[in-house]
Amino acid sequence: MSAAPPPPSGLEAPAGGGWIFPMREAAGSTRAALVSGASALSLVLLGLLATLGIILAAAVPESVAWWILPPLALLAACCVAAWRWDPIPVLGYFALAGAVAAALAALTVAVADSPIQAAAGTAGFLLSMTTNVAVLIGAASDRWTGGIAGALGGYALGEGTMAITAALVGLPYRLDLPPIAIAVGVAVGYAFVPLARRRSRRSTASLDAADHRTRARRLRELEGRESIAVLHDTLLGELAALSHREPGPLSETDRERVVASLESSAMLPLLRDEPEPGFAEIASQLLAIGAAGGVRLRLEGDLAALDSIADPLGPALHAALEQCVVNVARHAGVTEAWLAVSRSGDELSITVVDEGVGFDPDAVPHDRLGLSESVRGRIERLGGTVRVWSSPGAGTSVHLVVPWGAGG
Amino acid sequence: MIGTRHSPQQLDPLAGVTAQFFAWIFTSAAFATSVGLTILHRAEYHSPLLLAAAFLCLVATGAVVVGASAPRRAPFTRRSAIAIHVLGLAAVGFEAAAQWGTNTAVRSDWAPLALALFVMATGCFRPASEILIADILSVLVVTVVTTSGAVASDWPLPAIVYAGLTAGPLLAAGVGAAVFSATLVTRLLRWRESTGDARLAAAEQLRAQVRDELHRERLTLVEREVGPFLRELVARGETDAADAERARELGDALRAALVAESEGVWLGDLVDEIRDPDGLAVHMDETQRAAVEAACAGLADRRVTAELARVGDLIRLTLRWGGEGRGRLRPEMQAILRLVFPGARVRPTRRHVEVEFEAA
Repeated sequence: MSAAPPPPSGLEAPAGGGWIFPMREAAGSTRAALVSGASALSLVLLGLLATLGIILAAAVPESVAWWILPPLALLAACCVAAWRWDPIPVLGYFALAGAVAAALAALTVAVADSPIQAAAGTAGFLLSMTTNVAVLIGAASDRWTGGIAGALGGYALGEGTMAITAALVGLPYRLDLPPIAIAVGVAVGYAFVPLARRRSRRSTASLDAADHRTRARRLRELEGRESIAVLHDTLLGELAALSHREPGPLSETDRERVVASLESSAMLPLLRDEPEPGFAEIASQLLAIGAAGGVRLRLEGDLAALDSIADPLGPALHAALEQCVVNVARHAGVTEAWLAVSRSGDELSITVVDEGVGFDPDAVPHDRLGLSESVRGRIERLGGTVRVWSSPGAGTSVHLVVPWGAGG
Repeated sequence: MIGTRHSPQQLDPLAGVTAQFFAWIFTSAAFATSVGLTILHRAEYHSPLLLAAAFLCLVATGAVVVGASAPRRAPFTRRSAIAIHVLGLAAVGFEAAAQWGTNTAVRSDWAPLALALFVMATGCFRPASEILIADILSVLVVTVVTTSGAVASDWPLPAIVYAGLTAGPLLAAGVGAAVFSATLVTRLLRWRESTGDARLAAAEQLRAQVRDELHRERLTLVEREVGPFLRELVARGETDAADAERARELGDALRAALVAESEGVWLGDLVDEIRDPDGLAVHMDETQRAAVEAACAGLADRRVTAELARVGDLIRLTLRWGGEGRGRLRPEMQAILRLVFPGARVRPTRRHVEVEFEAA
């Protein structure tokens, strides 16, 4: 037989806080994402310019100089370097600035050599878009001011190189607005991102604290209710038995039971750490509990399936079944009861039936913990369900359903 | 590539609140670009009506971007992203029609640039794969519109070159936004993975702490009276009528203490008044409870009431708070509530929040 998979982790300690990203990590991630996004955008723009250059060179030979591809490739290399080179040494910045300036100077010469391009002067699409790329390279390579100085520096370098080269080669200089807008926009954006981030993450500490408190409270609730169930099964049961007992000497069995209850309550809420017995032992315990209360318990169905219920559901089911048998012995007023086990797909059903006095489930006082905590609470906390059918004079059926492996 | 199917906002709700800033920046830039280029190249437009229609679409697109990025409407949905593309493309179409045959420079066409800026704003909110697919489809439409315009105007260079100048920036913006999104998601997932063990260890530590506290409380409860009584009986080896009566009293007292503990509701500690006759609050999961707890903590100085009721298969929690006192439901908390409880109705100005959740 294959083992059942672990049941829902109702009593496990869940790892909390995974949904609250810390401020420091957020700052690093946003910066990395901005640099990656800007670099990817630049590379696509350069690829587009190269493609258009090839199309133009092939279709209209006079429209563009054939050698614009190497400077575009150099700019692409600068993009990758600004993106991936970390840390960039001081000499590296000089090398990057030199390479960008050289590429832009070459492109300016190329535009001056082309009659169609030269008409737009330095504001033509080729120089405009490559100046934008220079701005983004500057922002991406800036490791000191988070991109502000880099964006403005990239613009100054690109525009300055173009203006000087244009003057040298006789290309008319025209002020181009998009690179200015992009440089200012990128600088302003980088300047305000930390403020926006601080504002949006000012509740991180309170969320973390709430997450911690919630998990502690939830654990306490789960562990606490489990120990309530155990206390009910041990000390409360013991006190109830003593309150109904005829005065007289305690037998050795009575003494052992009281001592065991005291020991188990002193261990709360650690009882689940005890090794769980196999079903053969559980079955004999259930039979013994029934016999002690004057009830002959008949076990039926796929009893072996109970052996493959993993922790923590196994011990919980065991304790709940014991409580069901105790309830029959204490309240049903019968000498015989049945416990049947059946498996269907990914569920295991256990039914405890007696033909005793029965009761009205809606009229059970709210302070009765046997059915509510020792049976229903235990099973429902672990993803199972409990249904009770009973009415005065018509016996009682308690039906427990717990998750079981679909492939079981 | 890792992280192309998740959205940054989904994994880090607070990032979406920071990103609202980007949404405003890109929307402002789109408006400034559109107005500036229209004024500079006003001679190219022959139909004011079609130009007005293009601007109407631009305003609608901006409204979608700003509205969808608002924390109280989080998360930014796929439907909003599609609306941005549809409205942006409508603006492209109307602008092209407004200057059909009179367009002299495609670089002055503002609609494709505005759409590119709006697409960049979605990088903070939507999954990379979705951004890329939607962007490529829009690039194709812009290419067709520009190519048709170039053919109609009989421009000297190959039509595809003009299409490259309008659709190219849109393509670059989409790729940039997709890479931005994928990088954020990848780093978020890596952080979760790398801190998973530490968070589990902290959870185990918390559990040990809780058990230790409970252990002390249980010992105190038992050892106060029940323990000594039972030990005395065991030592004495017999019981009398007084012992039976004492056992009944101790049993009743212990039962009362346990019942009081089992009936405690977590939400009751956080609000001033709770109406939950069916005990529905217990069905909320840990993350939902933490979000509600953090929201209540922000409103701690106000009188907060909570009401829970079944609505079909779901459970509805309504939080209301009074006008007296300090504290408010900050935008980041609004976003968290919307992310943790999809479809939550967050109405800070009306001082109430309605969230729905499934019975766990």
